[in-house]
Amino acid sequence: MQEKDSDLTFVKRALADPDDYALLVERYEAKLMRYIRRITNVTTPEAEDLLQNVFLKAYQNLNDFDSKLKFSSWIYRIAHNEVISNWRKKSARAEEVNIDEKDMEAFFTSAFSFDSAQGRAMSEELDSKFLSKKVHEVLSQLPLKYREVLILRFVEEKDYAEISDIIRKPGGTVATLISRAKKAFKQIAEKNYSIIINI
Amino acid sequence: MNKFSKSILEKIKTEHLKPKARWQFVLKNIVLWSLAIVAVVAAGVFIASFIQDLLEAEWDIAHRYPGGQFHFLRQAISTTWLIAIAAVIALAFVFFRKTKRGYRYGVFVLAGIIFTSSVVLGTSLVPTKIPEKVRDFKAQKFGRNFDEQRWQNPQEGFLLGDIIEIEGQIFILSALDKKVWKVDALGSKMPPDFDLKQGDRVRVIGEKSGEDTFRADFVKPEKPSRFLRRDKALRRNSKIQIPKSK
Repeated sequence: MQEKDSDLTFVKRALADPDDYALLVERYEAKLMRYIRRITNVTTPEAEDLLQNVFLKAYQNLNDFDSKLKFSSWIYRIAHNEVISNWRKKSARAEEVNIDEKDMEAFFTSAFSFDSAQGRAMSEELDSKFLSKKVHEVLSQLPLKYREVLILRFVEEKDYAEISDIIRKPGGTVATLISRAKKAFKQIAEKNYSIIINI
Repeated sequence: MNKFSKSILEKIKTEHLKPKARWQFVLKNIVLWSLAIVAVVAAGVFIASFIQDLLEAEWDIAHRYPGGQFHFLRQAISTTWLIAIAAVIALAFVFFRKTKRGYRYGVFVLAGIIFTSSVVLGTSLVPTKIPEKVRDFKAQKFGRNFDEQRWQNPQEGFLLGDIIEIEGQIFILSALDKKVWKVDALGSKMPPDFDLKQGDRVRVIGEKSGEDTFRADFVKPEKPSRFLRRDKALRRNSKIQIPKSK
């Protein structure tokens, strides 16, 4: 709530004085950079270009920010649109995503449930870079729409309402997308990598 | 201020970027809402026109329609209205979806709200003159839903033509194919407030009684009188008994 309030204050300050826009840029720079790199395979310079476009578009559309939404949802939506439009320009090939091992573990354990024995085994295996690499590869093979909702939900830890605001889809559709994304993940993991997952 | 934010601010300054005015976003949202509402109203008017078409279809002669009642029903249901209704409902859906918070509504919820509103509006518009004007416009552009051919079928008991001579309840009718018929309308039913006059175009339901003679059971003006008057009056005053076809 406090962050939401101060975001709103920062937006007002940026509208009054462009130099104060730096406050918002600095608050969201790292988060958005991680998000862009997590859902795309772009290189660091490309990601920086995307991020720059996100902040420039956000600045130009600052008056469109709806104070009833979280500022983070609004700026993530701009990042989402930028990534989609960049993705459409490129061919729809499988993409290598950039998620660090710690995030990968968080994703894997929060997205899927394991019984205790399997969980222990998995967590031991997760320690190994091998499984982390496999999960990486499975995520990279998922369509962007599935990969993105899984990352928003289980890595960025956004709730359904926030995801709905970011991708501009109804809450019910978000739930369906997440469920389908998990099934798709499970299928690829089992078929190509022999990882057995309970959903 | 870090390097990245500095570069963003520099870019903003060198490219003279400014936040777009709030009114632009407000106006965009108002335009989208207006377009969506206009589309719902249009759907309502088309639904009202569709309902009027159905109510005004001559159900009393459906069983005598060539091809049977099913064919009659197919003729009575105007595909033009159905396509128009589907198109404007789809447009309303797209416009609502593009409004600021339109994305929050599920496909079925939003489609259901739009469809229900259109049906409620359409039903309430049925007794007004609005759909009638739209139907007249459609008739001018695309022709009437029921083709005239059906009325040029004396073998089946249907005639359409102009009265060229009249004497009491017997008149000479020039059919659309220019064939001249002597029509005996003695004892036939007619809509209230309708008098046979020379020059009138009339539709006659009855029986062919000779090579060029026809016995009328029912005579009505070619262009139906206005929706409410016609239908209510007909229901009140006239119980039409149409002879079964042979």
